[in-house]
Amino acid sequence: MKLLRCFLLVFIQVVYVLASSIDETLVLHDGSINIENDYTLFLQDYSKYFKSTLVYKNVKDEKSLKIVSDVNSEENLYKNIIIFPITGRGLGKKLTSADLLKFSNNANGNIMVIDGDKSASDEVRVFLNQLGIYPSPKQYKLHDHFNFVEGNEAHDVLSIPIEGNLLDESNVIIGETLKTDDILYSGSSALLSNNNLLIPILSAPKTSFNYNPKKLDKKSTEDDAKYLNDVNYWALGNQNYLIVAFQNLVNSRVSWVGSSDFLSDASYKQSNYKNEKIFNDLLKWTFGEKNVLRIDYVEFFKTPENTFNPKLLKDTFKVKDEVIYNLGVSEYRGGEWVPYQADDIQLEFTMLDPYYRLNLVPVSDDSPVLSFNSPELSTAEPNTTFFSKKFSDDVSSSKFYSAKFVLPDQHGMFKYLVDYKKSGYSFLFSENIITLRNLAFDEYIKSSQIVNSWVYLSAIVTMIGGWLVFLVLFLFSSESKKTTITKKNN
Amino acid sequence: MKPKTQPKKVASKPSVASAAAAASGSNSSINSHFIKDLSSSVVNTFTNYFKTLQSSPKLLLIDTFCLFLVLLGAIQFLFVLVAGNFPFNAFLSGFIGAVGQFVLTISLRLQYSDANRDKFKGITAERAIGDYIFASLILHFIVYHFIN
Repeated sequence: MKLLRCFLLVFIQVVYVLASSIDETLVLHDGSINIENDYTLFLQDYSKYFKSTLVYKNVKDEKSLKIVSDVNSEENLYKNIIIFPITGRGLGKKLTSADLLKFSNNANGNIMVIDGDKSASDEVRVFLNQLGIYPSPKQYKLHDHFNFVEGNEAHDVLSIPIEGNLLDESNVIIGETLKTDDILYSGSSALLSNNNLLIPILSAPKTSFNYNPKKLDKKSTEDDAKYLNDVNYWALGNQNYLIVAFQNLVNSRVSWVGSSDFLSDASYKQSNYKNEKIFNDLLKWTFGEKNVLRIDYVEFFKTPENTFNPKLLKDTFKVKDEVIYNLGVSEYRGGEWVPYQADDIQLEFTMLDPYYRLNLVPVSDDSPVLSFNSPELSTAEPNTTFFSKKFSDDVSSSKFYSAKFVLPDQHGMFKYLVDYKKSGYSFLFSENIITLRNLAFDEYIKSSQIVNSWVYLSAIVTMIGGWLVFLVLFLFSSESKKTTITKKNN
Repeated sequence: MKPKTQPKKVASKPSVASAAAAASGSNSSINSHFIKDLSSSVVNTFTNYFKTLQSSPKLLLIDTFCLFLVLLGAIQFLFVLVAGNFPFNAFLSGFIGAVGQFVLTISLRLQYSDANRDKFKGITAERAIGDYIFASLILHFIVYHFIN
């Protein structure tokens, strides 16, 4: 009976796991803010960009919330996660920072963490610390005596100018913005580690500082400056970061925003601030709506003179062969795949070290560079020197990159390697191992085909001919006393 | 060839030294003395050399062939200096062929010459010629295979 119940329990769990569609977006909150009323514009934007059902979960009510599958944690049970400020210590009974990390380590495990000066969930904090983001503690708030909004006595509702503070200068994540624009901000800030995968987007102004005003009240006799010399501040000036993005090695993205007020309806509605514009771009980036790259196809082969010689069709690559490497890359932007334009994609040809590191050159569609859609290649039988693989069915959207080079004069196991890690874009990785062999004994060029060696060849012929003439003259010349002596001996 | 020329040169040197000592201070006279001595010694050497060849025309034949081989080697060496050593194996086989044939021919000359008869007592002239042909054929074989 006990066994039967156990089985039943397992069965129910399995059904539960299968039933929960991964198209759902999990919104974690604790009821401290009114999400459905105060964040309608943000949620509308989200639904507009992503066809995903929002599932609200109050961490106080959830006893057994799971975000990754039980078996090896290899499957995410939700498409995306948005975490609103959580004032309590925990994150539900079962959910831990380790779960968040596992979610993020699975492919497409995108998480957006919206923080605030009142949030203090240790689990979220530990998760962020592991990425290298150190948000200020509960009650700590960003202040600025120069950039505050008129009428704000505490100087903690800030109007932050974009110029000088937007760190995404090449507009990789945040699209074009006007330099004169401001954004409205009120909340916490974070210190950052030197993790290479972090992409700071917005820093605080130079005149800002993050401290706990409640502590200051106790020492109200002292002035700000003296207080700030003490250890009671979290960070000063543009050490503070307000928006931070992160992308791990499996291209899952995490973004952190220091304030829930930043995306509230009240902020969105103020037309003189650019909150909505910046947050929409961040939203699109975090949940994979922009800057997602894809390799559509990879192909490499010897140049036609070599490849289509029927004798060499089954051949391997040999040293000093001329080869062509083609790569198709497309980018997901605005809901569709478009050609990805760049001049910094590099191809490495490596055996332990790169023997070549070449820029892949973007090629126009009507170019004479050979590709799998060329008629002479389409009839070619795949073999060891002709590799062509499509990774997506539709390659019409991909940008065609190509490199032509002569293989090094070194035999061994080489690989064609494209390892493209551009900050703000999803990373591309492709490696294909090939064997590069030496020349066979009959593949070297003959001396007789080299004009210079004709001198030596004729010298040898002259030498042997001269020797024969000499020998004949030597043996058959008479009137020598030597020969008479030898005849005597015989 | 060489043993004959050397005594001559050695003999000419003291005369140059004495001339230099005698006509001290005059450079031109030293030079003219030196050139006169040198030319006379060279002429002596060659006349002596051709005198010895009178008795054995086969040695003249051998020497002519040697000269031919030296010229062949020199031409190849000059060519490799001018045109670069790209088909290096072809150059090596051509040059080593000329040098090797020269060495073998000189060996034949030493064993064949009357002057050295007592030094190679066990080796008859026929044996010398046979050895020479055999060694030359091996050399040609190797040279042919070294071209490529």
